[in-house]
Amino acid sequence: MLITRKLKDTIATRLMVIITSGAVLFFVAIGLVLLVKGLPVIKSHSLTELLTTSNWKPMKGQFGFLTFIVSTLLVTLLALILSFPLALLSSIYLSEFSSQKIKKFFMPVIDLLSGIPPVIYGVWGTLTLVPFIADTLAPHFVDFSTGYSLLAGGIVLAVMILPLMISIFLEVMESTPQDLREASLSLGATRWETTTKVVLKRSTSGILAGVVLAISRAFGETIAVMMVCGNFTAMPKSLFDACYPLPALIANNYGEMMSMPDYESALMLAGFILFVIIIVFNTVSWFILKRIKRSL
Amino acid sequence: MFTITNTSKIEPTTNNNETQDQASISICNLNVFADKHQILKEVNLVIPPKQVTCIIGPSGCGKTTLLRSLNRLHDNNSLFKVSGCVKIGDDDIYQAGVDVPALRRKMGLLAQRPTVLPMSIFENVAYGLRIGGLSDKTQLKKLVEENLVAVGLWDEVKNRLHHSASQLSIGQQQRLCLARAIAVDPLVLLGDEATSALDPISSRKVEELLISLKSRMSVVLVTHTLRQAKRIADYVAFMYMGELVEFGEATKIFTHPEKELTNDYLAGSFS
Repeated sequence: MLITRKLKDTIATRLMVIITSGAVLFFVAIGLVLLVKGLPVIKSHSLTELLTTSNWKPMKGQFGFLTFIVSTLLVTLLALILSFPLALLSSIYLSEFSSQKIKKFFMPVIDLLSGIPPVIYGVWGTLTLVPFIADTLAPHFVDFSTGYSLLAGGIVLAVMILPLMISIFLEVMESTPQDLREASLSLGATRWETTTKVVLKRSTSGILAGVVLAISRAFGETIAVMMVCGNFTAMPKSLFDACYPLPALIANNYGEMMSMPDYESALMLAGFILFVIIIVFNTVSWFILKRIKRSL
Repeated sequence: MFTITNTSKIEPTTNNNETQDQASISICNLNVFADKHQILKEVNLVIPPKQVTCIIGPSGCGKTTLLRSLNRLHDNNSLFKVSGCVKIGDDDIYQAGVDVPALRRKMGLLAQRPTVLPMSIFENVAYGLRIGGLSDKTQLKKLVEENLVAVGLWDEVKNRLHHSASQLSIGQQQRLCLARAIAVDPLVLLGDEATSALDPISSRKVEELLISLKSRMSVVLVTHTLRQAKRIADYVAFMYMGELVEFGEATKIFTHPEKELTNDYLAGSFS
């Protein structure tokens, strides 16, 4: 009897180890496939050339990724700059200042927003945002813009990651024990002082984790950004210029004209670059999080 | 055992009749509702200044609610409705236009569990002082040291003032919270079962500190343990089902209570 139970225990443990390592294996496998497929183009061109030039002429065998890398980073950065303050202030309001009634109304709305399929955001961007930028906003700053631009991509992406950030921030702030708030209040602090000096301070690592998650999502977001950012292979010089992020590049071109030498390989390399950006980004933020946690 | 070696440091900053009066609390016809449930019913009570007053009574009798009404901590919960008056000195704290943060500053709070803020030991004590507008570094250092000395924590932490306060033991954390509360020189110190999470030795230390503090401020302590009330109380308020049953000098309440209910509770017939 005891032997059977011990056996079951061992089998269950082993099985779970295998399943868990499966998840890691998938990750490694995807990375490996991308790398292996991308190797031919690295061999025929140098990696430095691929990463530091922006000539993208597949017909002529030129594959410079710089435009795409810069576009990816810029769109993500812009989305973050636009959405972070909004997300932070909204979650502070809902967590620290609003009444229960208001919170009960807003929470499902925010969840609903994050459930809207990206393509809908893309269509909304194309129908409203792009013409608005082209006709109303851009003329104040530049001579001409189609509206399909870095700015449009950034705004759409900002709107998409906003609900995600709000719900994470909110959860983090609400995990602050009520006792701590009361300790601060009873020393004569106002609610705002309590929020900034105690709640936010205690939530720093969680907020950062939320930002990391949102950025990771933003890096990979494809369809909505692709629909509004113009997909033009030239380095954007202003917010009103078109841009072309890595995911859009892959989605737009994979499966077409695969007969061209090195083209498929170049697209796989694009995937690999995106993969590496996300790994580097997550690792760096992991270290930062660790430091912050230690200091609290 | 713990001895308060630095009691000399705890001196009343001003010791005239004016502050005596300011530190008294008079509660009249206080009713508190949570949603539709009435938690406090017509409580009338005058808490004498610069004494230790313990509020005792069975669980759910409204002790904590009463305590929290004294520094308007119910304000942030829209479900709570308070009526009646609470006067600290001559000022009715539930009047319209009261500066609530300034009021709370006069009413220090020591919670059931230590509530160290997510910052260093030094910053925890300096927190209230900084909120109050003190930014002079030498003055801050001096006050932080004084108050840490006053709670007997200085020698234990003087070499790690800038370490995170959460690394201290629970007993040390509670004394740190006490130092933080008294650093802003409140008129009244409110304690909500302030020793119930502590081990017996730490608990005794805090009790002795509370007694030593009454030269500086009034101490109002909610407690579950009758033995604690016997050890430290000058005055005792006994509450039952949201009503104040009896209030008086501790010796009298513990030896000759007027009400039968008080007698039964003290005898342990119910808890």
